[in-house]
Amino acid sequence: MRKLLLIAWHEYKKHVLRKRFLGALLAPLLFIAIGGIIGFITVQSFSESDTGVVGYVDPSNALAKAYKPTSPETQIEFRRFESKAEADAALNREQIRAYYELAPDFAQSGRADLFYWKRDISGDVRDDFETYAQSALLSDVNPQIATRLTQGIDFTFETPDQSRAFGENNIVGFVLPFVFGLMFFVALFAGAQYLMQAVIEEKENRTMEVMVTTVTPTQLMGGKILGLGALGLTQVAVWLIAMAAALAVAGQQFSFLQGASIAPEFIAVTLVLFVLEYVLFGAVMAAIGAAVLDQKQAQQYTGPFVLLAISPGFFIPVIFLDPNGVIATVLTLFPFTAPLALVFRYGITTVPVWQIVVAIVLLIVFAAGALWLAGRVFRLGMLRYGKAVAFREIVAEVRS
Amino acid sequence: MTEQNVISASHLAKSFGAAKAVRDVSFDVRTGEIFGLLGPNGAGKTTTIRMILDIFKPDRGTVTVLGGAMTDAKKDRIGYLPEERGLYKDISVENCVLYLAELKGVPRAEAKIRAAQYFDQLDLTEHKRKKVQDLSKGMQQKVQVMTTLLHRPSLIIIDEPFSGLDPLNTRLVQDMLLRERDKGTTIIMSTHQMYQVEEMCDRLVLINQGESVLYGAVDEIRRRYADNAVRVVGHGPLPQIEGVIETSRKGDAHTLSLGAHVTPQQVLSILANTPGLLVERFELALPTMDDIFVRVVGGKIVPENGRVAAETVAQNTHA
Repeated sequence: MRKLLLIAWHEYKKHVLRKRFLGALLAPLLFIAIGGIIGFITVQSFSESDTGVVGYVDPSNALAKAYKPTSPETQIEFRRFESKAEADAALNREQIRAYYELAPDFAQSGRADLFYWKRDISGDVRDDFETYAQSALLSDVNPQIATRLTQGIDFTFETPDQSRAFGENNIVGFVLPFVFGLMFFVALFAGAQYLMQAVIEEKENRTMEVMVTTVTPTQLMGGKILGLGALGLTQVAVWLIAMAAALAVAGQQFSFLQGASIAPEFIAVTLVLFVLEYVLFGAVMAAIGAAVLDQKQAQQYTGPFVLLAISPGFFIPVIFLDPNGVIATVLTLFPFTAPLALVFRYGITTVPVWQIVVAIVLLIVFAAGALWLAGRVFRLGMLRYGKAVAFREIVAEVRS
Repeated sequence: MTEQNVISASHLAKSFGAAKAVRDVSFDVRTGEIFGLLGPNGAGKTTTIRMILDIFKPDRGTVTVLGGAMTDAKKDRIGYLPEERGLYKDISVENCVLYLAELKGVPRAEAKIRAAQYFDQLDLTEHKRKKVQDLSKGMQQKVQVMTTLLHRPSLIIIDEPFSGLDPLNTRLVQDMLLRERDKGTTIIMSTHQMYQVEEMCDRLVLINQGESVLYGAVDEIRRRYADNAVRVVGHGPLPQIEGVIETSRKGDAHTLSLGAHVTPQQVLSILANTPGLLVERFELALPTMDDIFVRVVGGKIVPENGRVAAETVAQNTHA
């Protein structure tokens, strides 16, 4: 155990200080930061443009009884002009940002033309004008009903057990588990890739022979899996902290981000699934690393497994349309796709407990099998220089 | 098996698919000796070493190491420098050395102290913070020898320890190994440099085509392969001696091949009584290990002695 931990610590320390790891760690953070800055600038420039005056020409005086929306999106002021010429003049003098010319039969047709100079008005301004116009048309209706009609219906999506509900204004609650899962997924693959590289390096550096006469193959592989798994978790932890911090900061700007959270049980299940998935993929990657000659050759063999793991991504439309259907269920139970499929389904449905339990049990079985197989391939390939292990050799080894 | 045998290999055989890497190899290695494991390329030396180290299981035959089967605990008592060797290239020399020492069970603090001594001995102190990949091949080789010795193993198995070293460093490493032997460490050395075998090894086994064909003490083997000949170094003309079949000269040394009925003693007495000849050196002309290697491996001699010796070992082992 001491040797295993020593190897784990060595691998962790070696990789965590590498530029490549720091790059992989910081790239998404940089991405978030840049996105945040752009978002901030956009919000600033729009809030600036959402002030001022928008005019309208209303020959039939259809908007006589209009009033501004009760909860306006913008600070814009709507001003009536007697004629198109007056409105044009105001636009030319840049006293107004744009104006609507309502059709004479506006009350019936609802037709209006928008004129603007240089820059279009934002969608929020349009929404506000629409509400403003609707309020005039609904002036005879009970104000409460009028407000309801102009604001539309706020749909709320609830899971059958009512444990989670997402309104239209709570889209973050749906996206967050998604992002959380994807981060785990990226870290898992990074960890598995590092593991493969570490095994190949051991061969390429010709340190394998000294290692296997110093430690057992189990200690060597166990140490590497542990150390590089910890590396992947470090990556997730840093990202999570950054994301929490970003949400806290952005929440002050965007009200819809406030109160965004992920259920602890989801985090727990995801953690278990992804750690098991890491062991499964790590073992497969390590076996590939032991069997091949160099990095280049390894890439050929990792492709199908990576494809398999990301395959739930291809089924997103199917999963969203029928989150408890056969395909979604199969993807959740199949060990190679289970974690990602579960993450995709979590936001839109309640995954039955039995499926989670079966998925975990199957993953444990597959991970154990993969470790055993990796050990066999490792023994075959560890001291091969200049020649890769053939598939039929592996089959023969497994049979023996 | 006797107590003093560090390794007993008996009738080892190992095949990989159709290829028979080792057919029948037997030898004992005694405590505190430097044992030469010789043979041409592809003879089965590396496979034999790997069977000793339990990397491969032999198809046939048995091997005992340090008094029994290989265990994990014994691995810490063995220092191994394989033929295909390397170091972790992208970490510092010191980190690499300390990591490998720790894996062999040396506490980090102790490993640091020992490493400092070796760095000093091997002129590596100023390079210890460099990355391994930035060292010259010779320096890397010295670091590797160092990692083989740092955990103070009681058995060292070392494959071509001098490859890539200049004469100065060769001497340095040679002295280190001899010092280890003097401390009682057993060393198995595989090398193609036959003069190193003559200088350093106490006993040896020669493996050819997967079989041990020559086995025993170096001196004894050289005597066994000696023709009836003497080597003379001196000033003045050599006389004609009856019974000398052939005279050859290399530098100022004359080698005289003697007929079956002539003894070196008789030749010496004639030379001593030859006026005008000053004999500086007179010795039996033992063949070099190089000659013996070429003769045995090249097939000029059917090495019956070798087989007999190997079988004797095997019988001892089973006794």
